Amino acid sequence: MYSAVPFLIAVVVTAFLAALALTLVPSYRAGMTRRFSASVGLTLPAALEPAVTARLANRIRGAAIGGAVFAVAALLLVEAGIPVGSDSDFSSFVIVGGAFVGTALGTGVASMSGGLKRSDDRVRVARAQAVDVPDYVAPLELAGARIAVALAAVGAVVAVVSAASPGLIALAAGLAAAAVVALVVFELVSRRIVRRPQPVGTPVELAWDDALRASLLRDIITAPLALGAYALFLGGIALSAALAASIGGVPGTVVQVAIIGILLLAAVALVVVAIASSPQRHFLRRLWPNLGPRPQATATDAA
Amino acid sequence: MLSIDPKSATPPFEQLRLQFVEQVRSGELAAGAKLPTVRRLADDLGLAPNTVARCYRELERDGFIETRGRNGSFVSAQGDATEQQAQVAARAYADRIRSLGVSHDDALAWVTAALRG
Repeated sequence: MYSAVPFLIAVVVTAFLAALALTLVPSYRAGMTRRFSASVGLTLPAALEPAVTARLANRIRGAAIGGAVFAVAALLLVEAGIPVGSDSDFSSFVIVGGAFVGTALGTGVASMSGGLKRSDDRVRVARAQAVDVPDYVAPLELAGARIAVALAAVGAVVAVVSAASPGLIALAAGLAAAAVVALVVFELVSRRIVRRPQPVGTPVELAWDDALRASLLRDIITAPLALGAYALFLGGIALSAALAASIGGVPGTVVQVAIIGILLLAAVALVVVAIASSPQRHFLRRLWPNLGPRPQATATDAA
Repeated sequence: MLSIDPKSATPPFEQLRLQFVEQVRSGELAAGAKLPTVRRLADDLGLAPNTVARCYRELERDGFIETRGRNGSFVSAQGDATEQQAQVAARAYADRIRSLGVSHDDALAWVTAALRG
């Protein structure tokens, strides 16, 4: 039988090479920095632009490498029939899940190297208060990831016990396990990232370092959040199928559609709330409150 | 915000100590605020860890900060007993507001309304 895996691997490798190439194109690099500046609500001084652009490009490269490696690995797993079975319609969840984990890990690793350069003879500034992960990641994302992973783990256990749709349950359980691992990695790596020194000379540099940290942590927490949501959704489908089978007839179908509908509505509601609360600017509200809700501002205003 | 000028005639230790004292007195550093670890602040400011540790020891001796074992160093409540209790209560409120993810503006509005009532 013809397999689409070699073709998909070629697509992943091409996308990976394109992402790497883009980080070398000056116009793309400038646009990338401009978009990031707008999203976090900080004006970027010209003097900081090369360093910030280099760090953003470094992260994209890390994300591309990690995403490509894990996506190819997931494709090979699917080709081998692990963990869903060759007749499953849900292989794409494994591939996308793998790409999420790889992207998050690659981003984290790439960001560990690189940072602002220190100079011993210039004025140094530092924050007088300790900071922690909740200063950089919005409660909705932080709690959302933890709750989604916990529910996914519980849901996977319940689905396994219900013994319905074995292929789907295996996938949900696999994704739930991956989500747990991704969450543990986030909990460990995030503290390490926040503990790293910030050798800066001006409040503007500090604000920009905070912006990059916050963005990095949000990128990394995407993996457990997405995997947990995937596993929860698939677990919900498996459970609803089991319930529908046990109830039988039209009432069973109604219950199944209702459960899936509730899951979809909850997902849409969470996405809307997340977008409305602008989590990408959470660090500004926590660490630079004097910058306030203005769409564009410089850190010198707040210092 | 703290700043250290390596070219200043004032030793880095004294620059740091004076800024902490000023910020605690002015209320910029509120009672209960957690200070960075010695190593972190030393790395941030390009100082020797001993310099920051000495600063923290002197601030503690003078009653500006307190060390709570492995939990770290925290700004002490200042003033008389009543003022100290009020500062501790304010810190508890601020910590709760943070954990709830409530905005500063909302928190200030609510506490202002509560004080009026």
